[in-house]
Amino acid sequence: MNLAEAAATRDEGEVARLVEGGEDFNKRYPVRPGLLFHRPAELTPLEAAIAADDPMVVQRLMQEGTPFDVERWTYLHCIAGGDEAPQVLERYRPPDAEPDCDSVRAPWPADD
Amino acid sequence: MSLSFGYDLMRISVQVSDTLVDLIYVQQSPSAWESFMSEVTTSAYLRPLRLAQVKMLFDLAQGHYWLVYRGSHVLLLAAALFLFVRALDIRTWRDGAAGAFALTVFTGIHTFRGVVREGFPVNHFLVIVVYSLLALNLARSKGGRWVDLTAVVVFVAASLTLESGLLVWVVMATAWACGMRGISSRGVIAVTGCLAAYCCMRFLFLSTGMPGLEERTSGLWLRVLEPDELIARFGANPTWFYAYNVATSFLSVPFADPNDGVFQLVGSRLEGYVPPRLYVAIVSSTATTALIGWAVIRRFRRPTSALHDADRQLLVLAGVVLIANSVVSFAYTRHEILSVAGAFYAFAAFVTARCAIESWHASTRLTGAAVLMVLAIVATTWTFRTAGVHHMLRVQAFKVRVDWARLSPDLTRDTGSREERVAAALVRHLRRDALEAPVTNPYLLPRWADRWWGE
Repeated sequence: MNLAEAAATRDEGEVARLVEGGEDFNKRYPVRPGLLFHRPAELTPLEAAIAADDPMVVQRLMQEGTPFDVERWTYLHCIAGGDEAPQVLERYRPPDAEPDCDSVRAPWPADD
Repeated sequence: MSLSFGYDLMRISVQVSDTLVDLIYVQQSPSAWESFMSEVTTSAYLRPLRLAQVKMLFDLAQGHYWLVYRGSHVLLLAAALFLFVRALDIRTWRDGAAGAFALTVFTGIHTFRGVVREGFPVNHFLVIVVYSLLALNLARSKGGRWVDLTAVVVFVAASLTLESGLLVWVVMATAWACGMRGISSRGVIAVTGCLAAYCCMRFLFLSTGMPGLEERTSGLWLRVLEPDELIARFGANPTWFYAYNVATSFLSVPFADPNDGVFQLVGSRLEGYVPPRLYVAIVSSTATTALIGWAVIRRFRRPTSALHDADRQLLVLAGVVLIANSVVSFAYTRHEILSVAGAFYAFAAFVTARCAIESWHASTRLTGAAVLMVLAIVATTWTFRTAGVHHMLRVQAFKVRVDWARLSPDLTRDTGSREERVAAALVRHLRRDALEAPVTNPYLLPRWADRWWGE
């Protein structure tokens, strides 16, 4: 299981193991059908965690790496459709962020 | 059965909760004796042998902590199963059939879940179950000086491990009173003397006292209360709360509800959803308890025979242990604390199954067939509950791994005093072991498994 799939299946232990083992958490990984969507997808671990609406994995991945700029944060905020992930994202909101989601498209199939 | 549960247990890492603090302590402790003495003067509990056992296993592990602590858990479970089956004294095919049913009750009951789920690092509740079953085996043995001496040693070890270890005296005394003479009168007197010495030491010499309301959360009616809520409600007079805990503990074993002091069926219905696992547990336990009631009437009403004597002994023992275990749970109620009562409930189930098979031959065909059919249905539900223990253990393995993933980085930093750096190295070792362990992800399991077997 790769890092995105671990995030998609809420496997916080596996996410920790892979991240601490040096896996690139900014890269896109293939996510097999059935884990998140009926069709395969190519997602970053954070996108997968947001799609799974797992606040703990989102939190962990948000803490890795550099702080998010307005554009990156807006993108994540706009693709987050669940109940819990948006609340975690809100804690990392840049001061001057005013989300405009009109031009943002999620990296997963819209009808899945 | 030992192998299958053992396999699941070995897939669980050494856990974080109720364990890490003890492991860090024993790492720094110079000896098992020092660990023992450090627990003698604690305020609410007298459990010196508990920490000494953790220390001895720690020193034995030589860095292989998972292997030794989980391995000891597997060995304890195997010992419990062996002692339970041995105490059934199976001699005929009828006994074998009844024993198979009893074994599913022993492993399917909710109190058993507690003793396999938790690691601690040594599951001391399982240790007490083993001691209690050993006490019964001694009581049913041919007797002799070595049996009496072993009985004394077992009681002393149990009483200094956990407070529920005092139930070993209950088993021995009740067994003797029922006519089981494996432990002689002198042996029972000696064990009773040890009990008196324990009480004097605890309450007069050491003034250890009893656990207070601030120690733990505890269930009340439909929800779990935090310690500050318990103190606010019962701080002035905890008598009613203690009585509630004893009563709900007494009901929990034969009816599977309330659970940890909470009336789950009522609570779930009020919330609008009752998970099927609750129905399975409550129906199977209640039906078995009703059958046990039928068996009690049969055994105490019929003419005496040697077999019936043995059955009456087990029924009385199960009842007395249930009452005593409920009293021991007065401070707060948990599955694990009732594990001895759960184990002895399975003995009552054994007698019941034996009665049912006997009734097939003795009664009219219709009556006998009806009883056996009910038993067969009930046995199926117990088997289903036992199968659910494997699911629970897989989920537990995943949760333990997540706990390690979430551990504060402060605990693994190589800074501070020498002791702090040594402790941090231990924590890093345990965490690495846990994260490297392959576990099943419950999110990949069928959803129905959690509805029917979850917690």
